[in-house]
Amino acid sequence: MVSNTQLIMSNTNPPAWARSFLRLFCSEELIEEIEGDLLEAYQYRTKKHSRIKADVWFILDVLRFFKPYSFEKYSRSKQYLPMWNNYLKISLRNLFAKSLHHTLINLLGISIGISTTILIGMYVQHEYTYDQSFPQASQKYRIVNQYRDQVYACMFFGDYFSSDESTQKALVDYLQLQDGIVNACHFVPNNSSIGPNRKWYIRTAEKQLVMDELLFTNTGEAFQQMFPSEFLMGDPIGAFSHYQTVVVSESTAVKLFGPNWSSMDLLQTQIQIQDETFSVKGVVKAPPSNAHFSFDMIVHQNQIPSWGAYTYFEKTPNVNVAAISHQLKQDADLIYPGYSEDILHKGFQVIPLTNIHFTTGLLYEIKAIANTTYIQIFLVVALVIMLAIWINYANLSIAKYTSRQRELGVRKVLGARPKDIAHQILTESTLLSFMTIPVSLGLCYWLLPTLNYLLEVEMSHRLLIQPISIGLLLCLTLFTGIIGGLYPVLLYSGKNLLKLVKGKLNSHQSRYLFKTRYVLLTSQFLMLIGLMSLALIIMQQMNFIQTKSKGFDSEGIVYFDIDGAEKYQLLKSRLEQLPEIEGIGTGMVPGQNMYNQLTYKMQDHEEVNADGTYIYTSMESMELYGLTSPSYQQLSNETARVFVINEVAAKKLATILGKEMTALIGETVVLEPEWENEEFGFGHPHIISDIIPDFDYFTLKYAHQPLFIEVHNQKDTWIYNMIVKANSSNWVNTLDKIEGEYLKIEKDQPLDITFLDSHLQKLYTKDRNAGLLTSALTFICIAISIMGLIGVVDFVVQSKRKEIGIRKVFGASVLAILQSLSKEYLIMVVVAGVLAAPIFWFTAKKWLDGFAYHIVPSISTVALAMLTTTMIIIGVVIIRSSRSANQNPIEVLRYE
Amino acid sequence: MIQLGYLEETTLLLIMVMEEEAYGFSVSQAYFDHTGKSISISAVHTVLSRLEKKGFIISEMGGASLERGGRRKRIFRPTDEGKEVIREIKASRQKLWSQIPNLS
Repeated sequence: MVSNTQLIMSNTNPPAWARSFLRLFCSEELIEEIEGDLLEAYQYRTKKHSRIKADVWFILDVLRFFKPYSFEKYSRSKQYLPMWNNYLKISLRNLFAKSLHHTLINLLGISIGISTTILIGMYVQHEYTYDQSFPQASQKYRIVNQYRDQVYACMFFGDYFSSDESTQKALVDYLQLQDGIVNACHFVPNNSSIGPNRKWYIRTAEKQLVMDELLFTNTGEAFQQMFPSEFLMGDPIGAFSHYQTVVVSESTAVKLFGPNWSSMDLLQTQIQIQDETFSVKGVVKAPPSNAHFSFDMIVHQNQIPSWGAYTYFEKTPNVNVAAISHQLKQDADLIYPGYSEDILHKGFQVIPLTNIHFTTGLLYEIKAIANTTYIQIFLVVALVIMLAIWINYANLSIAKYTSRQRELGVRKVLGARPKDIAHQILTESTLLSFMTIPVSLGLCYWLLPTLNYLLEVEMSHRLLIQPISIGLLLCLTLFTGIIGGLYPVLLYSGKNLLKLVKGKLNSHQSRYLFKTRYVLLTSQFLMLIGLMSLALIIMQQMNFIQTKSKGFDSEGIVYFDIDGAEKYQLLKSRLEQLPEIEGIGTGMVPGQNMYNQLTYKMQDHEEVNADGTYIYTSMESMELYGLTSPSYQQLSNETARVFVINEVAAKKLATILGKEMTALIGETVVLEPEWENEEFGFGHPHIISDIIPDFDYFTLKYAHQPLFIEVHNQKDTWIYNMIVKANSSNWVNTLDKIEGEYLKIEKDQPLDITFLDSHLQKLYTKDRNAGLLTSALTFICIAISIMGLIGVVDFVVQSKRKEIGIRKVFGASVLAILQSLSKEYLIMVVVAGVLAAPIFWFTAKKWLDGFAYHIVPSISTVALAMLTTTMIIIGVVIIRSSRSANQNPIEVLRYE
Repeated sequence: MIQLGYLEETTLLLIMVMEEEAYGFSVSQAYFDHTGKSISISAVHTVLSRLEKKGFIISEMGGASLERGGRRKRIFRPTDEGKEVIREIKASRQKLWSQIPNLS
């Protein structure tokens, strides 16, 4: 009857989309009469007028029906509310009683995925909100200076180290007076590259502590106004009204005054830093971990112990920063007399406060800047994991519902509308996904400290319950629930009930189903292979860095700061008494970050290079590192210094001279040729005594630089550290002895001793941790993919049971059957591998470009990842399908 | 007394007048024949459901036909209340008519 009708009407049918639209919004009760009337009118109008007019009228009529009258009226379906109970009951029964292991797989997968995404989201938010918690952050800027070819993150003082208070404050004072500038301040954290970079004794009446997170400023009031700290004790105005005051963080207060500090009146207390007395003027909350500076104590004194300071200003919103910057350049000579005459100064720049964390290439930045490659990798991984989770969930729920087709069929027989079926499926899938919320939150809570440790940030647990995290959690959960249910809904809700009761999908549909799922699965393999290759390459690079020859010995070497030559000589003579000490030197410590470079040229040649690095070190230290040279023989009481260069420098200079490298020995190189002085006229000439092999003076992020090493005989007065090499079997004991001797000599400065090896390791901690994190995420991805694969394999094996049986009857071996079952996955792995290779190559290249010395990303890495993926897949296929393959074919075939 | 709008009144009258089955499309056709103005099917449906809610007409599902794409029609019949209200309206109008002094 129906098909007959369609036949007759086939040449005069209204637009199908309009009809579908009508069906979409129109309620079940009204669709019969409305659609009937509209069709009748359509037929009537086609006959009377024309087809086109009828079409237009039909569309208009459908649109006219688009109003509340035609929509679903909830009061009409009396069974509606009670059905929810039923859905819930059936859902719980299905989730827990019938397929508990299925449910647990899903529960685990979804919560791992969601918590990973939330944690990554929190990290990204942490990085992208750097310094944004300060009020008016967008109006605040830092002034930086370009000197030679390098841009310094800080400004300098007019007389460098010997500047008095007013010279130090010249720039800030100038800025304060400008129109359009609200405020200006500067400071130097102790642990920054320009800070004293040492440990300090802090003494109270009862206690002595060693601290290093000090922040020095002589513009305390402005600092507090621009980067306000929340005062827990004391008041912001009184705290910085005088010099010789300190403000301590909460944790420092606990350390200094005990856990009951808040009940004491600390504002009268005096503390001593080394030998100077300061009065405590407040206790504040420490700045957030995503501020570009940190402190345990603010020291407000008239002079900052440095040659410069990090300098900031806040402008009024109506002033253009370019104008301020321009004015600043005009007035440079007022602030720094002679600035514009010095050709090495290349001018000031201003950097928005909120960009500091993302500005690359600044010399002496306080904290490590954001590594955007990692942020991008993590974001992609989060997306990948979420996609994998959704794909899986959809896959597993399709697999689950294939065995529940009869149930849905019976529901239809009992009068369930497509909508009711949809509601039931969605109830079940969202119920499951919402059950993961406590697990996800628990996982986040549990994993946050590990993440903090690995990424070297301090995100508090409170961030988990901020609205944005909770919102993300709810959205992801809801979306996961809907995604999980959507595919079965589309597949089954409108299905003919006879087909459902028969428990079969027709071949066209199942083929379509398979196609979709192959796409889903292939993309999952793609992610898996890509991530695995990336984790592999990070590991390989880290391994490369560790095993690459450094060019010097680092074993058994410790170093520490010491105050001056006198103490150095005294301690040296005492330590030399110890049997395990093999040598003591002073000067160079390899594993540096880039510092200020200088210009150099060959004497009597014009060409000037600006990429030189100058090192001042003792002969003994060079020998400790195994950087020996016969030229050291020349050192004597008369000859205090010899000058050696490394091969990179030699190559550059040899090119200038147009000679062999060996011909350089005895030639004169002039450092800082633009520097006018009385002794030599211009620059500082040195005669090259020897050329030594290249070694990793800087971290491997930088290529080998031209090094100019002045080796002295330790009779010098400028000595600031001690390098000790020992052959010790008991380092604890050796360190104790060193410290004992040190403390006898040095009363003011705590011992800050570092193993060279651990210092070199630390240079790559962040990269190593990122590698670890990527590996961990890869494992999560593998686990999730296996879960998804299990679902698919189960489904395929189930639908191929008869095929397997018939194959066996015709003599196929178990192996051949397993082979035929896993063949299609191998094709998918190959496709995924081919797609993953270019993506991997670009990402790996971008990351590796951050290192001057790195391995070459190769396709073999992807091949290895593909191989691993294949093994995993074959494993899963064998495990999940061996039962069917081993089954007696009669068992399967006698079924009908 | 229950108020009936112009459209409602006309529709109710049309249902009583119509000899064949009264359903959405046929009512809209009859309306056009009677008044010369076209009315959308959706408007007719709204009026019919309003009348049904007020109890002036009742409906039942009728037969399907080919040109309706196999869809059945909802056929409306006036109830006793419906007939009563029409009578009341007529009476009140009549009363007013009779009071017009000189109708030219």
